[in-house]
This record gives sequence, C-alpha cells and structure tokens, in this order.
Amino acid sequence: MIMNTPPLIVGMARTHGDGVTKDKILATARAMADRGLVNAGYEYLNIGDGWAKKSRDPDTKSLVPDIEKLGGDLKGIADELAKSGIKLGVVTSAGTKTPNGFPGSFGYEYEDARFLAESGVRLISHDLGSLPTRVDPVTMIRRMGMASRTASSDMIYSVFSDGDVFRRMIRSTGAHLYHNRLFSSAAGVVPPPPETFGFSVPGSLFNCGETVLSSTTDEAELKRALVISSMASSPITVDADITMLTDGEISLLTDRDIIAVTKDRECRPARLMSPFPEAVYLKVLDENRYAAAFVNCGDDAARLSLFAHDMGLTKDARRFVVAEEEAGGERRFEFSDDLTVTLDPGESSLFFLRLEKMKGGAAK
Amino acid sequence: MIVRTPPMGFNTWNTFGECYNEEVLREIADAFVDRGFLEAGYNYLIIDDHWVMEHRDPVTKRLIPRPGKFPNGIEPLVDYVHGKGLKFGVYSCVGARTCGQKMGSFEYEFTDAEWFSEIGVDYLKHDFCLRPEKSDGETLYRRMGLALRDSGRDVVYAACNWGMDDVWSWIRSAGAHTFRSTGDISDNFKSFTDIFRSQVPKLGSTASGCFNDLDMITVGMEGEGNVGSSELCSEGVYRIQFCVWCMFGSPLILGCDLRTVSDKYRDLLCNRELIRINQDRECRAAFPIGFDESLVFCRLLEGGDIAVLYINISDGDCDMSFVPYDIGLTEESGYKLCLTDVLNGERFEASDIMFVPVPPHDCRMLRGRLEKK
Repeated sequence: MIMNTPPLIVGMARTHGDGVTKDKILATARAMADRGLVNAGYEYLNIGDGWAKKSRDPDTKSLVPDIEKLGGDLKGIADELAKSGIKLGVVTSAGTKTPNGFPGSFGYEYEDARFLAESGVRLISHDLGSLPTRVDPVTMIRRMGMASRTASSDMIYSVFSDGDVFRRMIRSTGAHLYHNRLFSSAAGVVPPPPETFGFSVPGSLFNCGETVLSSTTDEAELKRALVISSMASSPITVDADITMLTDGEISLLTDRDIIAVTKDRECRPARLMSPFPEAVYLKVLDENRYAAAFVNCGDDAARLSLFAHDMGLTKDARRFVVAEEEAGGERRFEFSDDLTVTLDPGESSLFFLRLEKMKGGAAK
Repeated sequence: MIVRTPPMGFNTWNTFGECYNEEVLREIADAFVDRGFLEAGYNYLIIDDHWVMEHRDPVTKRLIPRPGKFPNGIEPLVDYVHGKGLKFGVYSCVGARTCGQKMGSFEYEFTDAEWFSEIGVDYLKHDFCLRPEKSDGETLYRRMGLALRDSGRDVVYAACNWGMDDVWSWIRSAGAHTFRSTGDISDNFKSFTDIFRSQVPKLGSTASGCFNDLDMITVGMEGEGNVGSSELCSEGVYRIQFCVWCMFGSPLILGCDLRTVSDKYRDLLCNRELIRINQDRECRAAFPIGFDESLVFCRLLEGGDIAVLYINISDGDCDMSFVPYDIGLTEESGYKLCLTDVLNGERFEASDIMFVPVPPHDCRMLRGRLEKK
C-alpha cells in the first residue's frame, strides 16, 4: 500500500482500555459519522486490543475474537464500520502479549496478519511490549511488515518504536507510521525532535502521538496538539469518547485548515525556525503556499517571530508575504520583514502564507 | 510540483566539463530519442557549469548565456530540446560565483528563477561553491526553493550541497526534490563505492518527493571525458554501479556521452527491469542484510514484491547468501522466497538460506516475492 499523506485515525484504546464492546464501537462509529469526522477525513477506527480472547485457539493457534464483547466475529464489526465509510484498526504486539495482556504476535505474525486481513482489519498498530530480550526488535518489525504486506495490499502498518536506529531503518521495514511515545493527554503532544523530521517522509511518517482527550482537556491544548501534528505531517490520532466531546472540540478536530495542512499533497516536514519552546514552524505546501505555526510551549507569554529572511525572501525579490490566519482567526498580515505574534503559554496560531509581488512587480 | 519517483536524465558534466556547445547538445537531444533513452524513461537534458558568463546583463541583471557556446542565446536550444519531447535543465549556484567561477545566483535568486521560468527551464541543479563564508547554507537553499516555486513553473529543484550541514535532515522542508549527499563522483570503482557505502545509514530519508542523489552515473564512460579515470571499470563494475543506483532509489542522471556510449552499456542503462526497481512507486529504502562484510541489500517494492541485490567486491567467485529470517520470513510462515535474476532470468527459491553465485567484481539483482510452499 502506498500512503502518500497521513491518515486521520480515531482510537479507542486509551479511552476504553480493554473494555471495547460492539455497542461502544458502533456508537463511536456513529458519532464519527454524525459529528462530521468521517466527512472531515477520519477513516480509521482503532479499537485497541480488547476484542480478542486471552488465549489462542488451542488447535489452529489463531487469535479468537471475544464473541460476547463483539456480538459476533471481527469481520462483522469491520462490515458494520464499512457502512459508515470507516476502516477497522486493532492493536497487536511484536511480543508475547499486547498492552492489556492479550496474545501477542511473536511467532505468529503470518497467521495473525492473515487472520486480521481476512477479518477486514486495515490498520495494525504494532506494539513492541513483551518482546523477548534476546531478539532483534527491528527484525521483528520487519517480520510483521512482511506478513502484513503478504496478507493484504491495503493494510496500514503502524509501529511503536523509538531511537535513532528505528528512525533510520523504519522506512525499509514496510511500516507506514511510527511513533515513539504515548501521551496521557493532549498537553503531552510535543513537536518531534528536529532529527526526526528527515526520516518522516511520504510512505513512512512519524506519528507525534495520540491526542488523548478527557474531560480536563482544554481547547488550547487540543489546538496546539493538532497544529503540531499538522506541521509535522503526522497522522492525527485522536483517542477520545467521541460521543462526549464538546462542539468546540469537534470543531477543532474537523478544522478544515488544520486538516488541509496535515494532508497536504507535498507531505513535506516543517522546519523549526526559532528555538523551542517558543517554536515557530514553516512548512512548504502544495500550490505555492506555506503554513507557519507559532506554538508557545513555554511557561510565560511570549512574542514569536517568523522572519521573511529565514523563509528565503530578500529585498531584491520585490515580493511581500501575505499571512492569513486559519479559519476561526480573523487576522491578516502583510510583511516583508517579520511576522510577530504574542501568545500566552500553551497557545498556538496557524497561518497560511503566500508571496505577492510589490507594485512594479518584477525582480530587480 | 510533486516528484513521485526519482528523476531520470543526462547531465553534461561527467563527459564534457566545460567543453560543450549548442551543436553538441542538439546531438545529445537527438541521441536521447534515436538511441532509446527517452523511451526508457530518461527525459531531462541538463547543462552543468560554464553555460553563463562571468557577469550579468548591466540593465536587466539577468544571467548571460555564453555567446561562444550559444551564439543565438539559449532559447533556440530550449525549443529544440522541448521539441524532442525532453525537458530542459540548467545549473546555478548558491554562491556569488559557480564552482567554475561563472555568475552564481547569490542575492539574485528571484531574478534568476524568473528568467529560468521565462525561457522554459524544467530542472535546476543548484551547487554550493563560493558563497559568503558567513552565510547560512540552508537559508540559501530555502531562498532558491522559494524563488522557483514563486516563478509559477514546475521546476525540479536539485540541491547540490555535497551532503554538508546534515542536508538530509532539512532539505525536504526547503522544497527541494533531490539532494546530492556526497562529493563528486569519478569514473572508478573506489569513487562510486565510497559514495554509496557512505549513504547506507541515511537511506531512510530518501522517499517520494525528495530523493538522495548519489551523483551522475559514470556507466559507459570507459575512462573518457571530464571525470574519466585511468582505472577503467569492467562491465561487472559498471553493472554494480547502475544496480546500486537503482536499488537505492537515486535519481538516474547519466554522465556518459549518449551519442557514443556502446550498445552494451546503453542496454544496461535502459534495462526496463532495473529501471522499474528504481522507479518503484513505494520508494522504500533499501537495507543491508547478510553478514558483516558482504554487500547484500534488500528493498520492499510495491505490490508485495521484493528486490535483493548481491554485490561481490572480491577478486574471486563467491556464493553469497542471506537468511530470509533477516527480512522477516519464518520457516513456519507457510511461505518461501522466490526470486528471479532480472538480467538473465535464473530462478532461486529458499525459505531458510538463499545462496546465489556471484562472479568477482560483479553483482546480481533479483526480484520476486513470497509464495506459498
């Protein structure tokens, strides 16, 4: 499967743990459709690992769906989701157990990939927990990558991995997504380190992490997480009870501009243009546009500047930059020196930029 | 402009250096078509350094094509190249002068990008010489990227900073479509093996949209030309070079004289199966497998296919091997690995260990997939 732009994913694992049921899954799917997430581009629902029995079938060694929870088999769930235009995702593990103690795929990669593909699963989120100490983790990632490619031509293979070796090798393993941290809240979503950006490329993208929403999440935190994800060309992975989200949260999750930056066809990574934690990011977009994100990750109010010089603009170009704030903001600026905004701690702003010719037009 | 697979073309530098003119370039354009290079996928004709004067037009500030090479300006050549169904590429430099001390684009990026757009340029190789010592190289590359995008024309932006400043980590964000990652190639075994071996740890950063460029290919030069060498490459050694460039997903920019390169090397450079691996739409990174000193690389291809490249750099025949366990196959998976040599059709199957005999200083490129036992 060729994945040229990041997918948008709703997850249930962090919010529901192993307590997923058919009712909860279908309620989430209904909410995704009814509240506009499906129309906005969210096409995967990852139900986590709680769909399976705690033991494999003693004869076939296959994973066994928990029929009491699912009201049938996994294929039935996938078929129900498909009616709403949603694809089914699950959590698996390279080790002997999944995060909640269900059977891991260690030694059963090909059987599990085949079973999951036949069950209509189209996203595997592969954890590295419970991995035997004396095996090579990259080889185990390769193995599930090979198994999933062999089982299905349209399976997204997402890997939980960390460290420089993984970053350098992940693209060769067949993985489409990789992430290195789990967060307990939207506030935990931080920009990926600069050294990560060079290895976050179309076809195998860095995942900034699940945006986990709870009753204590405020909208500024959520917006910041989404802005960071969009600039990093990271998938948006929101883990929440969609039925309970406020209209404001839904509005941010379906924000047309944030999603446009996320799914921009060029899929280029942003560049950090000013030092963290008062971060300014610049991202090249399709159609000769740019996105600039101002993110105050510090503890104090701060003035953040994007300098036209650092974008590549020179006086001799006889161009200026037009900056328009994303939907919800009304600010519009024209500048040929710098764009400076003041943000409270935790605040973020996203602008679309384009160049325009000065009067008299041509370069010098 | 989104460049989904590695660009393919020809650049004047390897063979001609400074010594080319419009007549030669028209003949090269003819050879693209007449000798099958265009049909094989090569479509960019790129002029390297020395094509412009040492000064700008005093009124327009534009670059001036050298009259000795282009007596009627550059436009007739551009039209001729486009008329052949080819695209036209040029060279400039982030510095005040190019490496050959002709005019560079420093602080004239927008002027130059605008002119390139007007005359129909489709590709810009942007070099790294003679910039101000205190300038920031990344900003200079970002600047030309901005100017090219602003020009309104689709131009492949080929950054050439020789791998400096951790270029792989930021060049994609600057709008480039390809980036050179090493110093210049010479037409000998050590030069190109040093180049590709240095890039193995960074292959994960080459992908659709922005490709790691291992430099212009010397296959078929046979010691002649501007980067020719007294250490002649054998047919097997040239085969290694081209197979590595294909396996690593590098842009395929030829450096031999397309008019005179032998049919033998023309056929290698136009081999459809090798090019198909290079142009694979998944653009995944190759990775090394096998034991420490052996050079065996694997790459996942679209549709579930797999490519394996065995390179024997020793002086003797070698049964080279890898264990499919290392690419993710297990004995109990129910699958075996089935591969076919893309050059001679020989077929190999294995589920435990894959031995392939490889002649000295040669390589074998295999392609296949997992099949049920």
